[in-house]
Amino acid sequence: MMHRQKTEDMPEMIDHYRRTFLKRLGLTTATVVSTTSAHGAWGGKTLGDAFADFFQQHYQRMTTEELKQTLGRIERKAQKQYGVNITCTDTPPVEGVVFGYAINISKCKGYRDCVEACATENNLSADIRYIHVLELDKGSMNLELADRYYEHETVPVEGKYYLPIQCMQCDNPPCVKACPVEATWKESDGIVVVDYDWCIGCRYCMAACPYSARFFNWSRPQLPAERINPNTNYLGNRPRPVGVVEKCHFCTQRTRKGLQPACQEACPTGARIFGNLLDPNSEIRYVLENKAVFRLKEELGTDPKFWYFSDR
Amino acid sequence: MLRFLLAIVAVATPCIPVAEEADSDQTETQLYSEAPRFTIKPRNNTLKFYECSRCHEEGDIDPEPRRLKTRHTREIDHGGNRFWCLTCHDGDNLDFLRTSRNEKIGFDQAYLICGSCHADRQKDWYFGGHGKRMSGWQDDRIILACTQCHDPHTPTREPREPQPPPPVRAGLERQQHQPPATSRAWEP
Repeated sequence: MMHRQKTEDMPEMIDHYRRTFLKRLGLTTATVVSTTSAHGAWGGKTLGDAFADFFQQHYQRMTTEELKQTLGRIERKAQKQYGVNITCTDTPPVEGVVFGYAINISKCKGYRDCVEACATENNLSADIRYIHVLELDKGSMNLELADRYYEHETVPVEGKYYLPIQCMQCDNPPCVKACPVEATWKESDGIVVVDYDWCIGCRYCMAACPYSARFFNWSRPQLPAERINPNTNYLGNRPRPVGVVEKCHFCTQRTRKGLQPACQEACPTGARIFGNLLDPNSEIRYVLENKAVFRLKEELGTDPKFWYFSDR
Repeated sequence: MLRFLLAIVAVATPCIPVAEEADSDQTETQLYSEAPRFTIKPRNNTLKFYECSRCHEEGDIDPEPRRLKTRHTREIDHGGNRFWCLTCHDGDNLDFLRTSRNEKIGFDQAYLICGSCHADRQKDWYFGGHGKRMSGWQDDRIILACTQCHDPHTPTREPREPQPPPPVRAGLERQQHQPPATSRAWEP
């Protein structure tokens, strides 16, 4: 607007802006001080929590004490926002473990039980699903022609096969390279994680991901309080703020404690095989060594730790 | 219940050659020594008519193969009409099964019978390439037996309703899927 003003008005204008600015600053300060003492209403936080949130460090740079305080703040935030008592922990990766996943596409019948179990376990917003089950014509492998929104009375449908996709936990993840603030990285157990508090929401990682495995919180997560899973992990299923990217993390809150991921547990056909790639006796190693396995978009060099195989 | 399971093991193990090296408290039988050890999720307490000996007394079974109308199961739709009850069930004691090698085994060891035809699947199942693991990825391996997913009388599973499709972001409309004219690799 300024360029439209005549030059002689300029000093007056600047003075006007200066006065308005000072007035507003004074007003804001007064409001801040009064509300702080009266209600402690900083988006439901106390002033101390709001300051600490603002100055919160990157996950990898936090000291143990800082991390402990951060986890406490996350729990208080969830209590304020949803009225639910959650436990937020920081579960470190298990030594000597690299996770891998294999799906038997002959067994997958497209029931989508994994999709629902994942949404419940990981506190997903109503408009986000980490797993998508693609329906393809038998004999075809063109992912562009796949239907992920199929609606049938019963599945499997004659002449179709089903291919579940989710984050492939690439060993050479393009999303990590794309992130300008290092808010996403690969952990020592091979899981690519996101620090939701460090993410700036630029969505470069989503553009970089060849598997459409990352999702953006366009709105505050639509998550009814009664659907919240109270067992959460910092680099996992803790409630997410608006404007950050999230993705499948192989259920860090479960798998790092020895459990199976929720999708494996929910699958009624046993198509999903999860395990430690470094353990030569694990089921996943048997599959990789004895079955004709393939990975999606292998030619891109992303080196996914997510394999598909069939019985034939 | 535990006593009964042990009883099954006690009866079943001497009949199976590989099982002799196994511990006495083990409920599984290893055909492949290099396969990771496993335990079957016990199944007898989930069976509707178990124990069969409550109705069927020893020795009252007519061993003549015939079609039976029973209330136990639907029509036997397995193996193209080549099977009848005593192909798998033990005629002398219906609490047990009998393999094609004439070994008396418990219901939890049904995989020994399945494997006499479906050997490839059985091998995959031993090693974890088929079937479902019920325990965590690093805990003791607890797996489901064949018959916990496949009804041996009618092994084909009926199609069922899927869960709802994924949501579309608010403000957007879902595009109708256009089935391609052809997407098969072998068709021009």
